[in-house]
Amino acid sequence: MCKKGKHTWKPNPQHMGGCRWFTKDSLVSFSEAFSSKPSVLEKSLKRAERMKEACGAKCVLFLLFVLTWLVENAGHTSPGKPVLLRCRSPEKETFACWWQPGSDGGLSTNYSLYYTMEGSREDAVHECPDYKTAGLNSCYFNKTYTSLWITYTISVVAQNALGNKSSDPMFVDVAYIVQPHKPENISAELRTQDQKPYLMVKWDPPHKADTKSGWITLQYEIRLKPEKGAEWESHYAGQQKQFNVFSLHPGEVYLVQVRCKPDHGFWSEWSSTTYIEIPDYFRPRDTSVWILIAVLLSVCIFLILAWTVAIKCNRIKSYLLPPVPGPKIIGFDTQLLKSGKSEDLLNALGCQGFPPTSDCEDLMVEFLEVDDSDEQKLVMNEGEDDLEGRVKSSGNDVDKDSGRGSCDSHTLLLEVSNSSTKTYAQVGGNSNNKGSVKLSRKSSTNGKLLSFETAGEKTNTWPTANSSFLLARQSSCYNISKIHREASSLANKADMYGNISSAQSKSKECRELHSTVSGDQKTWFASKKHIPLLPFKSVEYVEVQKLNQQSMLILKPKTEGHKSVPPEFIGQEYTKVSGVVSDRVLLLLRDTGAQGSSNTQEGENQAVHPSLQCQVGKMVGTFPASPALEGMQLAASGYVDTAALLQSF
Amino acid sequence: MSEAYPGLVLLLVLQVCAWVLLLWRCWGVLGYPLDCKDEQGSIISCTSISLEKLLDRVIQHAELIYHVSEESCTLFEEMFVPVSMHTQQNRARNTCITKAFPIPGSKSEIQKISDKWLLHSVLMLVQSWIEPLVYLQKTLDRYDDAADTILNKTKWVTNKLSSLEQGIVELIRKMLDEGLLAVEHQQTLTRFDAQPEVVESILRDYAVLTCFKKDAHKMEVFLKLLKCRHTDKMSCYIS
Repeated sequence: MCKKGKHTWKPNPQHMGGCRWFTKDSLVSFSEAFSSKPSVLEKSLKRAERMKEACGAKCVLFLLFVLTWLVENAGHTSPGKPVLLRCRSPEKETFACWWQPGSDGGLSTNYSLYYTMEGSREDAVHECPDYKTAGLNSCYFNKTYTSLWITYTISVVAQNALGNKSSDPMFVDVAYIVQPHKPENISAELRTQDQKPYLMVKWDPPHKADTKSGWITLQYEIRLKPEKGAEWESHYAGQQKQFNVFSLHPGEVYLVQVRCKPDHGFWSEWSSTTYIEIPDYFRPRDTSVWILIAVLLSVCIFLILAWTVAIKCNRIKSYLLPPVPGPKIIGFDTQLLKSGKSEDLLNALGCQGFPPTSDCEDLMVEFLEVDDSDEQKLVMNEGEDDLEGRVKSSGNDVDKDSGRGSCDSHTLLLEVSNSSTKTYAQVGGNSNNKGSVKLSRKSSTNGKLLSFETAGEKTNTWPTANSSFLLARQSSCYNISKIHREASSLANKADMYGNISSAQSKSKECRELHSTVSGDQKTWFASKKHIPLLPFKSVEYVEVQKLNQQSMLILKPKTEGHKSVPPEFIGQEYTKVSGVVSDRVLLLLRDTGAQGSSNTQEGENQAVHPSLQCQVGKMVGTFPASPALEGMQLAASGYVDTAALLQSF
Repeated sequence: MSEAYPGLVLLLVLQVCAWVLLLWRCWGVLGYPLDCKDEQGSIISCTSISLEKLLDRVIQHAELIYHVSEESCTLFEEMFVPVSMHTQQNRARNTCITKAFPIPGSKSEIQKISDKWLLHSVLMLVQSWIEPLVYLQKTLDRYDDAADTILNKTKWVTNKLSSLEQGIVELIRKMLDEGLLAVEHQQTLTRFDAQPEVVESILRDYAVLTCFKKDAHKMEVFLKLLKCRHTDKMSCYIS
């Protein structure tokens, strides 16, 4: 029998003699139990229990470790995160989106795009209708799937065997993502306008963009550059489909490109390049270059000339403006003047036998009468013999130093009538100036005229006022160049000479012979015979100032240069022409009793009427010594060198 | 005085005659509006603007309004909306005001819309936005001075919108020969009376701006389509 113990023994009918151990935990076969010793059984039981406990966690861990090791060695993983690049609509009717795949994890990954539309239900997720049309990694939405003014929420999911990854969502409104295609059919044509070429560029909008119906409005921009140029020159063309480009360089090949943009959207790509060559042409700019060159040349020439002139200044001056010689009377020594010896002076002048003063009436003098009207005649009265004067005409023998310069040569011809006892020198005057003043000597008997013709630029008016003397302006010169008369007629009369000698030398000045006429008096100028031209070198002018009633010629030396008037010497002197010597010298009488020296009136137009106690035959005229005249002294004979008369007004 | 009376009358008559003569040349200028040319090219004196010019002006208005609203939107986004919110932009939440009738979003459908409905759609859009923009001005005042430009732009847009409305009404009158009375703008947005939070206010204003921008674009597109139909009907439908 089995003992009952811890374990319950049940007799096993089959195993006679054996007991089986039945426990809750384990069942140990009796046979085994009987076959083995009870201590071995117990050991194995314990061992199993221990193994069970120890092995569980470790095995799991071990298994896991093995598995992951295996998987990693093979390289497969879930995909990386894709990125949505952009969505674009070329014509605002369809659009497409592109994405960038992430890492694919070594396994084949496929991408799918999902979107939801604003306004629809949140869970209405749609998948991309077309993955192919727009290329790799793209999704194309055609017209039926495109709605404007609705926001699409788009995202891409990458999926592979091991997992999937979703990109960040992108919000798209089709109206704002328009980027058109490039413009098409670009043509560049060369045209000219006013000889300047310009480029007319034309193009068409991309054929997909519906600009005709106004669905989309495009703006254009063109750019061009020379083939070898570095930078593009851009022009905005607005909504027009042509554009004119100016300012081209000739002889170059230009590249032209056009792009477009909707009013709110993105610029398209630049179109394909169009090449156009600009032919060479003569640019108007070149003429201006020539003009510039010409101007520079002329400036250079001018500078050279100026330099030459500057260097040779003096020579040129002397060439252009020859110096006016000083007064030179041949045989006349100015030193004598200074020394004050009148006899020597007079002798030097060749005045031998100068008649002493005598009564005026004794001389047959011829007076030159000057009227103050147009028909003024200078009447020569031959009444005075004693009238001496020297009026020298330097007409014919004017030498080079005469200093006449630019004066018009007025020949003052004095022709003495032959037979007349009384010759009149008529001065025909233009009352209007600017004409010639004719001093003509007219003979009362035979009517010959002694003409003094002079043309002055500013001739004098013959004043009719009583006490005004006309002074011819400096520009008018009477050059008594030639006073000659027929010798016979006046030979028996007092010779009168007009001896005009120049006392001053100024380059352009002429001594003027003024025939001033007073209203009721007439100046007389008498020249009887040929007035010899003394070998004087210069021409002087004596102003015939007044002819008083006694038919006396009052001569006044006239000089230019009013400024140099010694104020104390502005006066007019009167002298009576006593005779003419050698037809060329007017001998003037000297009036010892004249008071002319006391008159110091100034003024060009003012005339002084010294009381001239001129009697016929007497010598009149006082010629006070003038310091300006180098102290010339006058001979008591009354011979006066008219150089002394020369005063400047 | 009785003697002077006929003289005065005469003087008055003379003056009137003088003035009449003087102003004879200007008679037309003073009184008449600008001359218009009708289709044959002869000059007629017109009393109102021609249809083409009206359309052009209306389109100009719409373009300008869109342009300014786009600027306002961008400015607001830069200034007030946090970066994190940019992507959301409230579109998912669909806070744009729904209209009385939906406007199709595809070109083919839009081109099927008749002129009449196009015009009415535009008018409805314009009228529906005047009120919210006025409200937006009030809310923008709550921001600091940084929003002054946006406020000015919004004011400007509101003014332009009113004149656009008048233009559309005139257009309807000319094109469709319908007379329309000015619609009273009802107070439809009462739900914004409460003082909102700052963030919520910002988002709401941003939503208003973006939705308005969208509608402005719609107006512009519709008007341009309308213009094409008016000028050259045949080519407008070829796409």
